[in-house]
Parts: sequence; C-alpha cells; structure tokens
Amino acid sequence: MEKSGKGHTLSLGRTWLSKSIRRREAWSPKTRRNFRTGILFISLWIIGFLAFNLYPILASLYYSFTEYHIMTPKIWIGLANYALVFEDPLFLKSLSNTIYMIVFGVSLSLILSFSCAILLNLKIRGQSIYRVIYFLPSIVPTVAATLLFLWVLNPQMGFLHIMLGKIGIVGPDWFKDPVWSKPGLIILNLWGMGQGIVVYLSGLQDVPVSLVEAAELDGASWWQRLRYVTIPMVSPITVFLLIMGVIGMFQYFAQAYVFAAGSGSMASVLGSPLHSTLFYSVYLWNVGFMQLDFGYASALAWIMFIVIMISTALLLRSSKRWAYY
Amino acid sequence: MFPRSNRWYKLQKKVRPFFQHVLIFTVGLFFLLPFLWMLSTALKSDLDIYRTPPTWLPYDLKQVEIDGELLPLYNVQIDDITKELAALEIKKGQGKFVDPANPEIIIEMPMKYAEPILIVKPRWQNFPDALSKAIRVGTGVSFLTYIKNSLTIAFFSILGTLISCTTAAYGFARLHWPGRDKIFLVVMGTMMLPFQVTMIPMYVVFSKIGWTNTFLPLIVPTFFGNAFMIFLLRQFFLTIPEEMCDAARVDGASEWQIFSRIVLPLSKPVLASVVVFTFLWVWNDFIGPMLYLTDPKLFTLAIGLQDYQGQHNVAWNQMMAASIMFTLPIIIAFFFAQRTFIQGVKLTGLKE
Repeated sequence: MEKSGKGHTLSLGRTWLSKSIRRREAWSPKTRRNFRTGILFISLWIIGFLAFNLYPILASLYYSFTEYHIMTPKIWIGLANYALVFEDPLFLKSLSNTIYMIVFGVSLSLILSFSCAILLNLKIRGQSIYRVIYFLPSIVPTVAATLLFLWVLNPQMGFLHIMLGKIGIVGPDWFKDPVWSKPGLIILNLWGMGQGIVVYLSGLQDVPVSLVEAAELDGASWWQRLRYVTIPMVSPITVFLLIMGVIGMFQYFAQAYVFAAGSGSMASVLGSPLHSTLFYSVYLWNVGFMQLDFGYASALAWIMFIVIMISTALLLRSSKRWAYY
Repeated sequence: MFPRSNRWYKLQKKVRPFFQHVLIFTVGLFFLLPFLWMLSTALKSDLDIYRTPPTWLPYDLKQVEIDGELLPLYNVQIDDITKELAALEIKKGQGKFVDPANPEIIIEMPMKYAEPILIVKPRWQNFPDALSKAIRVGTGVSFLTYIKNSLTIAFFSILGTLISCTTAAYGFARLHWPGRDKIFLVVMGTMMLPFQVTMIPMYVVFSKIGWTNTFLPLIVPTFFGNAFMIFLLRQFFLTIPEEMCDAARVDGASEWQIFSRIVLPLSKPVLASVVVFTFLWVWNDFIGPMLYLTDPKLFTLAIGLQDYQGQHNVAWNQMMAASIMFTLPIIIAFFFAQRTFIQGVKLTGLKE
C-alpha cells in the first residue's frame, strides 16, 4: 500500500520534472547556469517568502473560515466569521473610530503638513534649522512620543494645560473623556507629521519656477498661484500621502495602546475611555490575543486587507479626476 | 505716486521676512516645546514634578551642609520672623530644625509654619537612577536590561538583513536569469501585505515550536529577506556600471566574487542606509515584542517603557529621562545620516 502510494507521487513528480526539464532544454547551458546562480542568490528570500509570507497568508485565510481558539481543534464554519462582523457592535465601533481618524486626522495632517512645507520653502535665513525642528518629532520612537504626550496632555500637570490656562481655557481631560481622546491622539499624530512635511517640501521644490513666474506675470495673486499652480503640481504627493495615511490608520496600534493603558483607571481595557480609542488594529489585537479567538481575528485581518486594497484602488481611481500626474 | 509706491515696496521687502520668521518660529514652537517639556521634566526632582502650577525650570530644595550632611532648607515662621532653617527630621507634621549659622540649637515647629526653599537646580541624577532602578519588583529588571535587549535584537536583525537582502538584491539587479522580473514583482507585492494578516499564523507557529519568550521570532525572519531593503539595495546596485562586473567576469571571477569584492565595497552608502533603517525599525517596533515577549527580563525598551507607564505611581521625571535615552540614539543617528533619513521618508514611511 505504502509503496504504491509513493510510486504514484514519484511518477507524478517525474512527469512534472520531465516537463520542466524539457522546457529547460530550450535554455542554453549558459541560461541554465545563470538561472541556477540567480536562484541561489535569492534563495534566502525564497525561503522567507514561503515561510513568512505565503504560508501565513494561506493559513490565516484558512483560519478565517474556522472556529479556532488556540487550544481547540479548528472547526470549519464557512463564512460565519465574516457574517459575524455585521452583528458585532465592537467591530462597528472600531471601524467608525478608524474612519473618524481618517476623516479628521489624516485630512488635517495633510493640510497642515502642506502648510508647514510652504513655510519651510520660503527663502529666508535659518531655514535649515527650522526644517530640522519641524522634522525631529517624527523620528521620536512611537512609544516615547506617546508617553511624552500623556504627560504633555496631563490634565493637572501637563504643559498644554498651563498654556490653555493662561489664555483662560480649561483643558479637557483627554484620557477620561471619550469625546476628547481621539483629538488628543490627533494632536500627537500632528506633532509627528514631519515625514509628510518633508515629502511635500520636496514636491514644492520640484514645482518649476517658470510656471510660477508665468502665473505671476499674468497677474495671478499669491492665493491664485497657490490654488491653480502649486496645489495641482503637488497633487500626486497628496494622493501618495492620502493612501499611506489610510493604510497607516488601519494599522494604527502602538499609540492607541499606550494611550489607553495610560488613561489610568482601566489599564487592562484596550480602547478606553469607553471604547473611544478602540481602533481597527486594537480590536483585532483584542480579539486575537486577549480573547484568543484566532478564527474571528483572522477574518478581521482579511477584511482589513480587503478594505485597504479597495480604498487604495478607489483613491487611485478617483485621483485621476483631481490629481495631475 | 511713483516714489511712494517705491517706498512701499522697500518697506514690504524689509517687513515681510520679519513676519515670515515670526510665523515659522511660532509654528515651530508646537514641534519644539514638547521636547523642552520632556527635558525639563527629566531634570526635575520628585517633589517638583507634582507641583501646581508646573514650571519650565526644574526646581529643587535648597540644601545646606551641616556636619557633613546635606539638609534641606526651609523658611520657618517663628513669631512673625521668618528664618532660614535646615530640617533635621520631619515627623507627623512636626519638624526639627537647626539654624545653619548656629547648629547647636534645635528648634521644633509644626510644618505648617515651614515653607521649603526652592532654587533652580537640574537633577541629572534622574538619568542614572532611571537606568539602574529596578522597575519590576523582584525581577531585578531595569531600563539597562531593556536597552541591552533592544541592542541585541537590533544587532542580529541588522546582521540578518545585511546577509539576506544584499544577496537577494544582487540576484535581482546584476544577474540575468529567466523569470527574474516576475519574481521581483512578487517581492514588491509582499510590501502590500499588512502585518496583521500574517501575525496570527506566525504566532501559532512560533508558539508551537516554543519560540515565544525568546528573541528568535523577532530575529530569525530578518535572515530571510525584507522586501523594502531588497528594493532599496537593488536600486543602488543597478547604478553600479555593468562594465565593471563584465570586466571581472572576463577575468574569470565568479558571481560570488564579483558580489563580495566589487559590488559590496562600492555600496557602502546604501549599506549604511540599510543599517540605519533596520535599527530604526527594531528600536521602534512595538507590536512584535508585544506578541512574543511576556517575560520582563526580555522586554525591549519600547514595551518596557510602556509596561513601566502602566504601573501605579509613575515617576514622570525618570520616565522622561528614560524616554530621552530611548530617543537620543535616533536623534544622533539623524544628525550623522540626515540624507539617509530624508531619502527613507520619501520612499516610504520610516516607522512602518
């Protein structure tokens, strides 16, 4: 029995092998040698691709169709995990929190990083120092930056509190008030928007001077030059940053995790206060590694992947109408 | 008419840069002040961080040396006269004070009549304290442990990335073999894959082979290629003149020799970029160590700092001191390799 089974696979293997050999016979010995060397050079990547990309992709796709907690055997349940999201209030909450961050956070950081890039593109002295200052916060490690902002936004002793107090505003309690937790995180994101500024700045420097001068000669005001020359010229960068921003927000995790843990009273509850910082990736983490529901978490990961793909495609498609390549 | 408009033009030319400076500087404060707040907090004494309203400058108790001992000074009110006295002992609202000028006489006063004297004094001691202080009771773990762990992971990740990505990039850039460009598209495609998709199966595999609570799940994958680094290296290798490699081939050099003796030595700038980027990723990585490391002895700085923050009674001054030490290597790297950083930002987000 065993022998015949082996023989079967062997013959299958042989036909496949002979086919590929026949195909390779068309190659000259030199091509064959090159092929071998080439494969040898990328062999580590091939192993990595199979073990750390292809296998986990297939496995998580499979998990997503099963009921699977780490210790229990996997039970095939078809699309039930995917159907579950429509009845899962926390999923909808996490999705709406993420959309909030995209609509307000990403757009605000695009507008402000473009504005900062315009400032940094002015021809004045000391500009290189200003550029460093605007950029530096973006390379502060995420955890350090978030901790710093937990302290800056501290409602009793933080410096933002003093500053607001000086102009007569009582600052909100950023960590306990579900209305203010997301704006708090947006401020943190804006502090680290240096990368967007740099990308916009390089785009501004690529805008042909002749184009701006031509508009100036035609009597275009500063605002008109900005609106009808500069903004269209950097629109491909806006598309790029918008897509990166959307992807980044779906993967937004470390800041939200540290922020929620720092909100004090409920250190163990992710997404606190009141699920207001329960973003998509945070919820996925919660389902996967707190509830150990690997099947549902895998489905959530795939939904995220699909949503990212669709929104990237939609943004690229719509950008044909408003961006100039 | 004409001279006036000329004057107006001149005035505008003088005034405009001034307003531009003011504007850039004001916006710059938003980026700068949190750094200063971080530094200011890191230099404050334990007493000073909880003072309301908080101050920018770090204050500490003014101290005086009496018989070889440093004692804090207080303004003590005795019968309408305020005297500067050093506190020997404070117990249950009662303080024992001595006059520094006349240390023999001990005066006992309720603390409500005593006001600590504060002077501007940075407390540098927070930095060594943050490093050596045991963070988790009973484990002997300190920030120094976390730094060692982060450095260990960074070292091996850099090694792995250099080995696996340079070879692969050479295979894609300098060798001509059938199917190469199709496979390179697959390499680029893997960049699109979110970490969250592969996270769960990888966790299952690594925990089944007993690799959780080791650095292996964080290090081993770096020895098997990374799409972004392969792309970066390939783009650089493509700029090395083909004729150089061909000349070596004519002389009978093997591909491995061309790779290691010609291409690699010419690629020092891009290798430096790979080292910097890998270091940044490892240093900044949060979710990876969160997944695989639960033993405080193995924590990296990123999750160690978070863990410390999650405990009660955070000493914010030491926390900020530790954050500064966490951030400083990256700031230093930035000043040495500014161009690399900017290039990396333009290619993709640095932190992701």
